[in-house]
Amino acid sequence: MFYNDTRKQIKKLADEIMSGNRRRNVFVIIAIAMTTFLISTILCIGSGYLKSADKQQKMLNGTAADIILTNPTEQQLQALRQDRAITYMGVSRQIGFIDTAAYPRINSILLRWCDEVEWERHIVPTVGSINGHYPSSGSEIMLPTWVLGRMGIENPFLGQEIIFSFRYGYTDIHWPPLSEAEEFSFTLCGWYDDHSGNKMYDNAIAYIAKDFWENSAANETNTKSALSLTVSGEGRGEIYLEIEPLNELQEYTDLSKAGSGKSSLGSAAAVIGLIITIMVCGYLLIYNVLFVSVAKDIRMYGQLKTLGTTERQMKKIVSHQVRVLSFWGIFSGLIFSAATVFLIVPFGIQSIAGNRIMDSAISLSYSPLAFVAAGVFSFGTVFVSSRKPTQMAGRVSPVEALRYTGVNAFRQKCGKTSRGDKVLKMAVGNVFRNKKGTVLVIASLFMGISLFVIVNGILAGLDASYLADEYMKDDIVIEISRQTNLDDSILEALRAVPDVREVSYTTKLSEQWFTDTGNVLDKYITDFCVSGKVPEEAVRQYTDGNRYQAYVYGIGEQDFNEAVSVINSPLDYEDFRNGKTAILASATIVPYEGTAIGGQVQLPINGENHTLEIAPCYLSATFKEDGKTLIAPNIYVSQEWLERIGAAGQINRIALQTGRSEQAHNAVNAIFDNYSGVTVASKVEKINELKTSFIGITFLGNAISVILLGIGLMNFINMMYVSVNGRGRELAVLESVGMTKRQICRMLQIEGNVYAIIIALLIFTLGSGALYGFFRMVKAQASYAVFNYPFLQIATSLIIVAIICNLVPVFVYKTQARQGVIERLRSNESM
Amino acid sequence: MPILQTVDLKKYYRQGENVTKALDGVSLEINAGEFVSVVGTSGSGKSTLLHMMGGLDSPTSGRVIINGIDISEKSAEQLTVFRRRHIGFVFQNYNLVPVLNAYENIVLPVQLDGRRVDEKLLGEIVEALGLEDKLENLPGNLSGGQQQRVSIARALLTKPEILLADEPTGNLDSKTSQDVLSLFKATGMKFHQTVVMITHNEEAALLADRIIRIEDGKIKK
Repeated sequence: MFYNDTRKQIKKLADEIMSGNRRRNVFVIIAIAMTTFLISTILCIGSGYLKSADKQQKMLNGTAADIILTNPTEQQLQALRQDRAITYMGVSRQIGFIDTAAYPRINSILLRWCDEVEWERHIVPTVGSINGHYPSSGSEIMLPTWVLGRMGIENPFLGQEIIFSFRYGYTDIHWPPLSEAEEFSFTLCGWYDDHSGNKMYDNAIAYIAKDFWENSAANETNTKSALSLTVSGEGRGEIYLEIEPLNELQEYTDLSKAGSGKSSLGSAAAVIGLIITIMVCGYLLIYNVLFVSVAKDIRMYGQLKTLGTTERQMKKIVSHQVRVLSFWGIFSGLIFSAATVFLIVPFGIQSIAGNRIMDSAISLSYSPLAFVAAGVFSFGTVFVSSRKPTQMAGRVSPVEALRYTGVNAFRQKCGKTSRGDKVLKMAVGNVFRNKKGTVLVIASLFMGISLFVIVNGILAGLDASYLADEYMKDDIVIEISRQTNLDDSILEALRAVPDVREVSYTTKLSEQWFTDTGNVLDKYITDFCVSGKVPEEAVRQYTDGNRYQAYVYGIGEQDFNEAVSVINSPLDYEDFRNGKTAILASATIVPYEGTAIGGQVQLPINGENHTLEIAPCYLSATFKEDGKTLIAPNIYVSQEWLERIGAAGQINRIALQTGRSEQAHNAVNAIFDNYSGVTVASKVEKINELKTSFIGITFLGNAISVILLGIGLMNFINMMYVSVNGRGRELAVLESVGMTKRQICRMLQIEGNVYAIIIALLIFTLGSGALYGFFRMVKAQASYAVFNYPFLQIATSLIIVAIICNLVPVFVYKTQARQGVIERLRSNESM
Repeated sequence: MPILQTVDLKKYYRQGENVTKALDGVSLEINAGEFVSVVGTSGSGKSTLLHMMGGLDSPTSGRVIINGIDISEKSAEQLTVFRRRHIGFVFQNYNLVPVLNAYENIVLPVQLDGRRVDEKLLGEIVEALGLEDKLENLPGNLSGGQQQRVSIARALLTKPEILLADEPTGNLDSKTSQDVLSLFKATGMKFHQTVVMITHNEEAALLADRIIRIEDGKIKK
């Protein structure tokens, strides 16, 4: 049998059918373009978001390295140098400390040297703009910009002389002081924008040149060094095995486990999940448009069948149209996406954040592969979506085609309905008449809106203010150094500040000896010394048999009550106030908080031994302080009692509850403007700092969310349009038998509202469940995330959905109704 | 007094510079209770005339007066209500709502008007049309003749003064056509209705009391 080549004729026929269906073509192209746009934009912005999140994490870490090993041995260095998985290996060394008592709100400045690899590969990528150069010799120093600001140097210049008092060594408890504090004149050779977590605690790193320390008391054996490694993904797990065993002075930190996007499978899973959801969404949308389109043309396909068109030819006619429409849809989707990604988003970020953010916090490099992938995904989606409509056109029989109404043929009979609101019943019936179609429409709309709700909920949960809550529990914290003595008048002044709701403070007795009369701390001390790898020298300094040195803090009733609620044990305030009870707080490295303890301690104060009962379990050392302890736990006793026995101690920390009041923040800062040795930290300020750092990433997040909402709503409009437009003739029939335009509009509005109600119910149930599921995934990556139900966004999107449901069908119908009833009744082609 | 009157009715369609005169000054009168056939060749303007009479289409000029009321002065909304109360339509292609069963299709205009269904009358019509066991069927599961009978039942149930039928037998076989035409005659007499029927079929036209011929949009005397 010989076949005729009919490709030309088929193509011509398909082109003619297409040119007669202009409006339908526009809708199919819009549907495909929307899907393509969404996939490619999410791929680009999503990967940009992940890159930015990764970069953000590195900026918070203060290093781009994946692994840090302190005090590496020569053998370990040898082994690591052989490892091909290691891309960069940088070395740094902690040399000494600058005395910051004279400067407000600078907790500490660590003098650090690093080699070129460390500086160029690990530090430079994580700091903002850098002025000047890395110290090359002698007295040169590079400082964070914020330190200069807090020192009162608003307009620093290269070569500026800065005098600091500093000492070598004693960079932490394990390292001995190597010299007495002495003044030194440094030459400023540069400054850099610091976005690291250190800054949150007002700690800074000053960089110095190698020859600054090479000829000093500091050397390679008496200072702490760190080896920072950038490792390619696969090799990361094996590094630890290569350097085992670690000695007591070594710490191994895998920063890639600290939420860096590089290893976060969760983030990748979220993006893949998002893309799959979009593809399903796109499938539903394109399928619906194509299905309605083929259904509208079904009589014509039936006629073509009658004229002798084969099933294969019929399929070719449809698939040729699908291919042409796909081309234009994908092409325009990619163009819009590129415009968004390359023009709109950078313009938006630039206009909000300025150039500085573009340089540092945000990654906007996109691979062309993202667009190729989006095109392929979209074509795949169109291909799958068009299969069923193509088959339907191919397999239709001429007789069936004439009788085709879109109503389920299996539903042959249905009961009489003569009572009630006919319009309402018809509307509800219309929604469910084609169950598969309804499910498609609802699923598509639900997914579109859900994506918006989920992305918004997650973004809201990642707000900078929650990260600030991680850093600070109180709204304003004022820390006072030992050299500064504040009296009660300052507390009165603080109480008078507007928006201050609560003032609490702690007093501190530094290095107070006490006796563990019942030896209940033996295990704790042993654990501390092992975990902290405490050198013998320090043990000798802070312990003496069952006598220990500790920080003793005095707290008031408010803080006592808070402590009681934290340890969850009933304690009598009167006993506490009378010096009968003390509460112990364990160090961070010995996480004993919540662990049971009992017994007594003896505090020798002013020549008298006071015996105090220990509260039944430990607090955390970060309870009201910065987490520092000596070897023994910190001891909390009553402020009032300390005063009574003549050991009031100095006010060392004042905590204020002010809400997010900028006014209180400014007023408190003004009070302490002229004090030295006082650090004021406020949550408002932290939030603002974090928001500045996050501004680019927030913009990207919002861009994704707005795009999703826009697409969700366009999807909605498209669906409603197609749905009503496809029923043009039926509506004309209703009009011809006496249904008024007002009744038809009401029916269409009810239909729209049924959709809106179903979608609202789904959003509140399934959507909320999905949001929570996604949130748990994110929470695993970002522990500071707080579950935030996006009521406002849900309400907004549902209101817009309701408006669309009410307006679009009526608008479409009214547009159709501009034609007379007869013209609409005659029209076979309503799309 | 005529129940239905058209006065110099014109319907022109413009396409660029071409003007198609579907109706070109049609004036006629139809008396209450009359059964009138309108015949003419394809494209002669019969359907357009019927649609104008029923208020489904608006004329370029001229008037349609039903029961002394000029329907062209009514708004679209008023016209729809007027139509469902006073005029019954039977279309060549039935125009049944595919998602409603036969019963629901029949009672739809009455319910849309907010009235109660006259079950007695419904029973009579359904019996006369032989649709008793088809009421729960969807249009898609009915034959052409059955669908046409459903559309006739729908037209009759509102007790319209005028029944306008546009080639009601056009899609039916000869036996069914005969049945439908007999029904028109019988129900028209029974319910005292004026019937205007468009047909191609000379035989069918002969059943009417009067035949109006249309050619090129004009009544042929």
